[in-house]
Amino acid sequence: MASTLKKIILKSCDGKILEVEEAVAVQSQMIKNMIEDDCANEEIPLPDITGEILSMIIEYCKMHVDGENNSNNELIARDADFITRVDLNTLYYLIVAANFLNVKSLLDLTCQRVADIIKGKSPEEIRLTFNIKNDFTPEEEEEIRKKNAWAFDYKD
Amino acid sequence: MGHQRVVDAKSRISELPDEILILVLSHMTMKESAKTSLISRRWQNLWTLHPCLEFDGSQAFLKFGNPNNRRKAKKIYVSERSRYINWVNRIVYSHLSAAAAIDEFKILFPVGESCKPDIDELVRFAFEKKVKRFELNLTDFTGWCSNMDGCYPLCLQTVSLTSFVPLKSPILKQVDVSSQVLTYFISNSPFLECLCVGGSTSLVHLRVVGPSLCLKYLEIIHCLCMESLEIDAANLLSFKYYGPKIKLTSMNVPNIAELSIDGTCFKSLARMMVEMSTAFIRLEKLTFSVIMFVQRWMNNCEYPMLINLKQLELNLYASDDESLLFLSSLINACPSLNKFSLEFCRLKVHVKRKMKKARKCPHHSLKVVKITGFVGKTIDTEFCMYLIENAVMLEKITIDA
Repeated sequence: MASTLKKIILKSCDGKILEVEEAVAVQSQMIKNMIEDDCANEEIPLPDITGEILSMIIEYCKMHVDGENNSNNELIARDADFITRVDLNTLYYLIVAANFLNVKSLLDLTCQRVADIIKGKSPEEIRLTFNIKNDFTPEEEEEIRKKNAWAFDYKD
Repeated sequence: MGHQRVVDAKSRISELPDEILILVLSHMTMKESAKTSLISRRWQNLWTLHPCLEFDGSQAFLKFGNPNNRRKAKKIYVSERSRYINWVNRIVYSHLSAAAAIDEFKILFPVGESCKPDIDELVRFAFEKKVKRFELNLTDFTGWCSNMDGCYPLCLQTVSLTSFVPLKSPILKQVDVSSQVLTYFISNSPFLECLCVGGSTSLVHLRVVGPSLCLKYLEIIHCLCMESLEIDAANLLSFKYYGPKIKLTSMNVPNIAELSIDGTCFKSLARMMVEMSTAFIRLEKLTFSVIMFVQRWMNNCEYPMLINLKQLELNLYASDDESLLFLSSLINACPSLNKFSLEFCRLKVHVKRKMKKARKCPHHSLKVVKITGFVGKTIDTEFCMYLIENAVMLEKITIDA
């Protein structure tokens, strides 16, 4: 049966070629559109996605296609297992790739992960975690604090 | 493009496009996302584009609740209120220039009629932005604005921008809204799922009817001038009504699973249930709250058979000379009843009478019983005895003072 399934050929930016079953590939809205427009018969070059990231995304999509009949809770548990194994560095590239390929559930999952990392942290802790430079002067920071006092003062 | 790896990617999270960072923020509450304004310039204003705008001033305004110096406190309340509204307007303003629709718009703070122009603007903004979940809760927990002015009136011209409204759930509390506005929502919002109205004095007659109404939840609370209600909603699952006695002209709710009704409407609802017995076939939970005149409202009343009812909750007031044993016929009309709870408030009339015994009639499903407000007088003791003797499958009974 497997031989009758149509394969889509994807090429990563570092030259890796990956063959993917159509049912898995169409989890990406972008590839789905290409197939519908009959533009997916040859290999599809993905200029911004490395082979490593692409394999992860395929793993994720495969998990969702195979798990279609599983319960919602099972899928959530698998999603959680998948995303917590990802380090911050990889998370960034996954977001970029999920956005480019338009895999909505993965984009949601990765953004949720970033949100979970941010939640409960002070601005300084967030900066440290993501290596973000503080480009405010202390006066500016105070000004923002004052301006948005309604949003975060009273409960925290 | 393998060279990407050379750069530390985690420091590039701020380089993601606006719409992705906003998607990140949409996975937390607006309040949590507000903190990100302090990370860096890149993040400073992103949070204001959160798709769920929730302005909950209930905590902030609470401190003006019980002041020692009333005049001073009132002054502070008025100035803080206008500062709060200015702040809300500033965030809303940043949304106006953005293309994105908003999913949720929630205002929770005590303002009244004197702020009508401001609130009108905010409501207009939400509807222009095709809001799906809209909540206006102007409940005055501080006691200030009801001292100063009346309830904010929501007018038809404020909400009626187009004939198509993607609105899913309007929740309007302490908002003076007429049936004209509600009818507009009901007939122009094809996705309407939930409708809650509280504290409106302009609402008198309401018809919740529509051939393709997908409404699932309906709640009408403390609308003191309400007189009549007609419901024809095939998809309605839950209906809650607390308020004055109203005329229930018709209720076609074949899928209703949960009903929570004011004791004032007990008799008319019971009558309707008897007349349209098949219409309430899926009912699983029934709550009656504040039944004041037990004998007059409930006794000698014909009870409908509720074959699927699993949970019954009653909150009633009675005096010593009354008896609750007639409730046995209500309980027996619910053969699947599993949980029964009674909140009993004794009206202090000292009458001594002998304990009566209900006709023996075993119930085979009732397993959990909870009685609160037990005082050990004849009226509640005889009722507890009835339950213990007749609920043959009883597993747990909690009796609380």
